[in-house]
Amino acid sequence: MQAGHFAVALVISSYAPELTGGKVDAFSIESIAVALAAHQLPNLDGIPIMLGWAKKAFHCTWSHSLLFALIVGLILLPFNAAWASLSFTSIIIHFLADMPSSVGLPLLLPFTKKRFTLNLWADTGILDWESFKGTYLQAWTWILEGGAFLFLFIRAYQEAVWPFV
Amino acid sequence: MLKRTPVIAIFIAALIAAVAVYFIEVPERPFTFGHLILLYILSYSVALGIALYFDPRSQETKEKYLKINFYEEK
Repeated sequence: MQAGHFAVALVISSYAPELTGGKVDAFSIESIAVALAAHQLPNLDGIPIMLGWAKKAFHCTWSHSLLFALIVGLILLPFNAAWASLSFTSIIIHFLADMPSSVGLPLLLPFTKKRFTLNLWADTGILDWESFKGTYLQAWTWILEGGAFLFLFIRAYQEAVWPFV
Repeated sequence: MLKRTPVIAIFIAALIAAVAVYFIEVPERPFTFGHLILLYILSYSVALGIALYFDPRSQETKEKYLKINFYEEK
Protein backbone atom coordinates (compact mmCIF):
# COMPACT_ATOMS: atom_id res chain seq x y z
CA MET A 1 0.00 0.00 0.00
CA GLN A 2 1.29 3.48 -0.83
CA ALA A 3 -1.00 6.56 -0.74
CA GLY A 4 -3.59 4.55 1.17
CA HIS A 5 -1.35 4.54 4.26
CA PHE A 6 -2.23 8.20 4.86
CA ALA A 7 -5.96 7.46 4.75
CA VAL A 8 -5.53 4.46 7.04
CA ALA A 9 -3.54 6.56 9.57
CA LEU A 10 -6.27 9.21 9.58
CA VAL A 11 -8.94 6.53 10.09
CA ILE A 12 -6.95 5.24 13.08
CA SER A 13 -6.83 8.79 14.48
CA SER A 14 -10.62 8.90 14.21
CA TYR A 15 -10.76 6.00 16.69
CA ALA A 16 -8.31 7.65 19.12
CA PRO A 17 -10.87 7.97 21.98
CA GLU A 18 -11.64 4.24 21.82
CA LEU A 19 -7.94 3.32 21.60
CA THR A 20 -6.77 5.59 24.41
CA GLY A 21 -9.63 5.35 26.89
CA GLY A 22 -10.85 8.82 25.97
CA LYS A 23 -7.50 10.53 26.63
CA VAL A 24 -7.03 11.66 23.02
CA ASP A 25 -9.76 13.16 20.83
CA ALA A 26 -10.71 11.85 17.40
CA PHE A 27 -9.07 13.73 14.53
CA SER A 28 -7.21 15.99 16.99
CA ILE A 29 -3.77 17.27 15.98
CA GLU A 30 -2.31 14.97 18.65
CA SER A 31 -4.09 11.85 17.40
CA ILE A 32 -3.30 12.61 13.75
CA ALA A 33 0.38 13.31 14.49
CA VAL A 34 0.88 10.17 16.59
CA ALA A 35 -1.09 7.88 14.24
CA LEU A 36 0.65 9.23 11.11
CA ALA A 37 4.13 9.07 12.62
CA ALA A 38 3.67 5.57 14.03
CA HIS A 39 1.92 4.30 10.91
CA GLN A 40 4.79 5.49 8.69
CA LEU A 41 7.52 4.35 11.10
CA PRO A 42 7.98 0.84 9.59
CA ASN A 43 8.64 2.36 6.16
CA LEU A 44 11.58 4.38 7.48
CA ASP A 45 13.62 1.26 6.75
CA GLY A 46 13.87 2.80 3.26
CA ILE A 47 16.20 5.53 4.58
CA PRO A 48 19.25 3.34 5.33
CA ILE A 49 18.70 1.66 1.97
CA MET A 50 18.67 5.03 0.15
CA LEU A 51 21.79 6.11 2.04
CA GLY A 52 23.54 2.90 1.02
CA TRP A 53 23.90 1.70 4.60
CA ALA A 54 21.70 -1.36 4.08
CA LYS A 55 20.88 -3.74 1.25
CA LYS A 56 17.56 -3.54 -0.57
CA ALA A 57 16.57 -6.80 1.07
CA PHE A 58 16.44 -4.93 4.40
CA HIS A 59 13.08 -3.43 3.34
CA CYS A 60 10.06 -5.06 4.99
CA THR A 61 12.08 -7.09 7.49
CA TRP A 62 12.71 -6.09 11.12
CA SER A 63 10.61 -2.94 10.97
CA HIS A 64 7.68 -5.04 9.76
CA SER A 65 7.73 -7.56 12.61
CA LEU A 66 5.45 -7.83 15.64
CA LEU A 67 8.56 -7.43 17.79
CA PHE A 68 9.10 -3.95 16.34
CA ALA A 69 5.52 -2.90 17.15
CA LEU A 70 5.93 -4.24 20.67
CA ILE A 71 9.26 -2.43 21.22
CA VAL A 72 7.83 0.91 20.01
CA GLY A 73 4.79 0.46 22.28
CA LEU A 74 6.94 -0.47 25.28
CA ILE A 75 9.33 2.48 24.74
CA LEU A 76 6.41 4.93 24.71
CA LEU A 77 4.47 3.31 27.56
CA PRO A 78 6.35 4.92 30.52
CA PHE A 79 6.05 8.38 28.94
CA ASN A 80 2.52 8.36 27.52
CA ALA A 81 0.24 5.30 27.67
CA ALA A 82 -2.23 6.83 25.22
CA TRP A 83 0.49 7.39 22.62
CA ALA A 84 1.80 3.85 23.24
CA SER A 85 -1.62 2.35 22.55
CA LEU A 86 -2.22 4.53 19.49
CA SER A 87 1.27 3.82 18.11
CA PHE A 88 1.07 0.07 18.66
CA THR A 89 -2.30 -0.08 16.89
CA SER A 90 -1.06 2.12 14.04
CA ILE A 91 1.96 -0.10 13.42
CA ILE A 92 -0.07 -3.32 13.55
CA ILE A 93 -2.56 -1.86 11.06
CA HIS A 94 0.38 -0.80 8.86
CA PHE A 95 1.30 -4.50 8.72
CA LEU A 96 -2.29 -5.44 7.80
CA ALA A 97 -2.24 -2.81 5.04
CA ASP A 98 1.04 -4.21 3.67
CA MET A 99 0.08 -7.88 3.86
CA PRO A 100 -1.82 -7.93 0.55
CA SER A 101 1.54 -7.36 -1.20
CA SER A 102 3.30 -10.42 -2.58
CA VAL A 103 6.53 -9.49 -0.78
CA GLY A 104 5.03 -10.71 2.52
CA LEU A 105 6.00 -9.66 6.02
CA PRO A 106 8.24 -11.61 8.42
CA LEU A 107 5.89 -10.89 11.31
CA LEU A 108 7.40 -13.46 13.66
CA LEU A 109 11.04 -12.37 13.45
CA PRO A 110 13.36 -13.36 15.13
CA PHE A 111 11.64 -16.71 15.68
CA THR A 112 11.08 -17.46 12.02
CA LYS A 113 11.85 -15.75 8.71
CA LYS A 114 8.59 -17.03 7.21
CA ARG A 115 6.82 -14.22 5.34
CA PHE A 116 3.06 -13.83 5.65
CA THR A 117 1.16 -12.51 2.62
CA LEU A 118 -2.37 -12.37 1.24
CA ASN A 119 -0.82 -12.10 -2.25
CA LEU A 120 -3.54 -9.81 -3.62
CA TRP A 121 -1.10 -7.64 -5.59
CA ALA A 122 2.46 -8.09 -6.82
CA ASP A 123 5.18 -6.15 -5.05
CA THR A 124 6.70 -3.48 -7.31
CA GLY A 125 9.82 -2.47 -5.36
CA ILE A 126 10.39 0.77 -3.48
CA LEU A 127 10.57 4.51 -4.01
CA ASP A 128 10.59 4.94 -7.77
CA TRP A 129 8.23 5.61 -10.68
CA GLU A 130 8.19 1.95 -11.72
CA SER A 131 7.03 1.02 -8.23
CA PHE A 132 4.26 3.64 -8.27
CA LYS A 133 3.03 2.81 -11.78
CA GLY A 134 3.13 -0.95 -11.26
CA THR A 135 1.15 -0.72 -8.04
CA TYR A 136 -1.67 1.31 -9.55
CA LEU A 137 -2.09 -0.97 -12.56
CA GLN A 138 -3.33 -3.73 -10.26
CA ALA A 139 -6.94 -4.23 -9.21
CA TRP A 140 -6.65 -4.82 -5.47
CA THR A 141 -4.55 -1.69 -4.98
CA TRP A 142 -7.49 0.43 -6.09
CA ILE A 143 -10.04 -1.61 -4.15
CA LEU A 144 -8.18 -1.44 -0.84
CA GLU A 145 -6.61 2.03 -1.11
CA GLY A 146 -9.82 3.50 -2.52
CA GLY A 147 -11.69 1.69 0.23
CA ALA A 148 -9.41 3.30 2.84
CA PHE A 149 -10.18 6.80 1.51
CA LEU A 150 -13.89 5.97 1.30
CA PHE A 151 -13.83 4.77 4.91
CA LEU A 152 -12.05 7.99 5.89
CA PHE A 153 -14.84 9.98 4.20
CA ILE A 154 -17.41 8.05 6.24
CA ARG A 155 -15.50 8.56 9.51
CA ALA A 156 -15.15 12.29 8.83
CA TYR A 157 -18.93 12.47 8.27
CA GLN A 158 -19.68 10.47 11.42
CA GLU A 159 -17.36 12.62 13.54
CA ALA A 160 -18.61 15.82 11.86
CA VAL A 161 -15.16 17.13 10.96
CA TRP A 162 -14.04 18.87 7.75
CA PRO A 163 -15.54 18.81 5.14
CA PHE A 164 -18.71 18.07 7.12
CA VAL A 165 -18.61 20.94 9.66
CA MET B 1 -6.20 -1.55 -19.11
CA LEU B 2 -9.02 -2.33 -21.55
CA LYS B 3 -11.04 0.66 -22.85
CA ARG B 4 -14.23 -0.70 -21.31
CA THR B 5 -12.75 -0.91 -17.78
CA PRO B 6 -13.00 2.80 -16.76
CA VAL B 7 -16.46 2.96 -18.37
CA ILE B 8 -17.74 -0.01 -16.37
CA ALA B 9 -16.27 1.65 -13.27
CA ILE B 10 -18.52 4.71 -13.81
CA PHE B 11 -21.60 2.57 -13.20
CA ILE B 12 -20.11 0.55 -10.33
CA ALA B 13 -19.08 3.84 -8.65
CA ALA B 14 -22.63 5.14 -8.88
CA LEU B 15 -23.86 1.96 -7.19
CA ILE B 16 -21.24 2.16 -4.41
CA ALA B 17 -21.99 5.86 -3.80
CA ALA B 18 -25.75 5.20 -3.70
CA VAL B 19 -25.30 2.37 -1.18
CA ALA B 20 -22.99 4.57 0.94
CA VAL B 21 -25.54 7.41 0.98
CA TYR B 22 -28.35 5.00 1.87
CA PHE B 23 -26.53 3.50 4.85
CA ILE B 24 -24.45 6.45 6.09
CA GLU B 25 -26.45 9.64 5.59
CA VAL B 26 -28.36 10.96 8.58
CA PRO B 27 -31.56 12.89 7.65
CA GLU B 28 -30.62 15.79 9.97
CA ARG B 29 -27.25 16.19 8.21
CA PRO B 30 -27.81 15.67 4.49
CA PHE B 31 -24.83 15.55 2.13
CA THR B 32 -24.29 18.69 0.08
CA PHE B 33 -23.71 18.50 -3.68
CA GLY B 34 -19.97 18.92 -3.03
CA HIS B 35 -19.97 16.01 -0.58
CA LEU B 36 -21.72 13.83 -3.14
CA ILE B 37 -19.14 14.74 -5.81
CA LEU B 38 -16.34 13.81 -3.39
CA LEU B 39 -18.13 10.60 -2.45
CA TYR B 40 -18.51 9.67 -6.11
CA ILE B 41 -14.80 10.32 -6.82
CA LEU B 42 -13.79 8.11 -3.88
CA SER B 43 -16.30 5.46 -4.92
CA TYR B 44 -14.85 5.58 -8.42
CA SER B 45 -11.40 4.60 -7.15
CA VAL B 46 -12.88 1.49 -5.52
CA ALA B 47 -15.03 0.84 -8.60
CA LEU B 48 -12.00 1.08 -10.87
CA GLY B 49 -10.37 -1.66 -8.80
CA ILE B 50 -13.45 -3.87 -9.10
CA ALA B 51 -13.55 -3.29 -12.87
CA LEU B 52 -9.80 -3.95 -13.11
CA TYR B 53 -10.33 -7.24 -11.31
CA PHE B 54 -12.18 -8.48 -14.40
CA ASP B 55 -9.64 -6.91 -16.79
CA PRO B 56 -7.10 -9.48 -18.07
CA ARG B 57 -4.44 -6.74 -18.53
CA SER B 58 -4.44 -6.13 -14.79
CA GLN B 59 -3.78 -9.81 -14.13
CA GLU B 60 -0.98 -9.76 -16.74
CA THR B 61 0.59 -6.81 -14.93
CA LYS B 62 0.48 -8.68 -11.64
CA GLU B 63 2.07 -11.77 -13.21
CA LYS B 64 4.78 -9.61 -14.83
CA TYR B 65 5.77 -8.04 -11.52
CA LEU B 66 5.61 -11.36 -9.66
CA LYS B 67 8.54 -12.54 -11.81
CA ILE B 68 10.78 -9.67 -10.68
CA ASN B 69 12.78 -9.72 -7.45
CA PHE B 70 13.23 -6.03 -6.61
CA TYR B 71 15.44 -6.79 -3.61
CA GLU B 72 18.14 -8.74 -5.42
CA GLU B 73 21.46 -6.87 -5.42
CA LYS B 74 23.07 -6.54 -8.87
